[in-house]
Amino acid sequence: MTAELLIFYVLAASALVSALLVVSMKNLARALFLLFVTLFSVAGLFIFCLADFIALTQIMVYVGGVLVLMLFAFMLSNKELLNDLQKGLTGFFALPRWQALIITAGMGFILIHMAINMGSNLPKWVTEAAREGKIFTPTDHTEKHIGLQLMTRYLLPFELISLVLLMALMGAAHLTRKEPKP
Amino acid sequence: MDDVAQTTEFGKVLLIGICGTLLVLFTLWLGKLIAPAKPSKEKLSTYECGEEPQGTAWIQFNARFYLIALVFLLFDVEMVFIFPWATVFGQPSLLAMDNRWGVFTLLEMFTFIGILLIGLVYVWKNGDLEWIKPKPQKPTVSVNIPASAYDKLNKEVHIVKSGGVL
Repeated sequence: MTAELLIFYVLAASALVSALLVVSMKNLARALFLLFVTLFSVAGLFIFCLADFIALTQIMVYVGGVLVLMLFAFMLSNKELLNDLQKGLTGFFALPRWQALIITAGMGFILIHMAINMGSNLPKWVTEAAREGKIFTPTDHTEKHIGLQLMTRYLLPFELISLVLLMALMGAAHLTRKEPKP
Repeated sequence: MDDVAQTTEFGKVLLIGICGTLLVLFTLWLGKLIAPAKPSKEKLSTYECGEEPQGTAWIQFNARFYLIALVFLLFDVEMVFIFPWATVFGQPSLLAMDNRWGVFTLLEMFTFIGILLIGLVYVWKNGDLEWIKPKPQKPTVSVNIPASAYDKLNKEVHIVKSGGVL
């Protein structure tokens, strides 16, 4: 077994175990901190897929931003309110359990279906690119390609991103602002 | 990864991470090994600047934190888009191809950040970034004795038993 394979299995195992612990843990604060481990492991798995930019985004946005936001939301919330919410989740026939079961089963079906079917008959563009040697190797830097494409071919979408972000910022600020007292 | 020269950049990051973790664990283990452990109830309690800890650490935070975290998140996403730009901006090979490349990419990034700066101005102007300032209240007493009466009292010399002056 090579070192790469070993690292991959360690990352995959830590992602799976921590993700399972996140959903099964009773203490919300601990579950949130375990999510750090999950997201970091998934970022490592993205690097194995040669998706450097996605891995970077995962660490910057999800670990650095979204998780902090979730921790804030957790700390801002009332303890009694959270206890009440958790009471509704007990019992085998509770609605959230069935929703979770259906979503998980659906996602699992899609993944297994894709794994069985994609293995033998890959799309044409994939096989063609592989034959012509147009594939990424681990030493390639995908950020450079993305940067080049953003600055030339996808320049307008790139500038539109900032507009979308501006809208999101204004909307979020408007919604979270406290209503002025009448 | 048997050969160091074959390690990719991420491999190096991983190696640094592993070394860092091992070093921290080694230091913690060393501290546990040599430090005497005589725990008592006072030592194990949470340190709160000398005060006796009361209640849980889970208190409700000010909701203002949430909005600031949201604004931070938006600029975090913006930062992610700057990274791929930073790898190609000012690349010598691209500059050699067309010397307008540097100015062009710089202006595009200024537009990108400039649009988002409008958002910053918006939240700033709306006072979302302003902190709730404490308003210290000066205690007032509603008595009809003029201040000059107190001045006169303060100037008086009081003789106490031992003969000294207070």
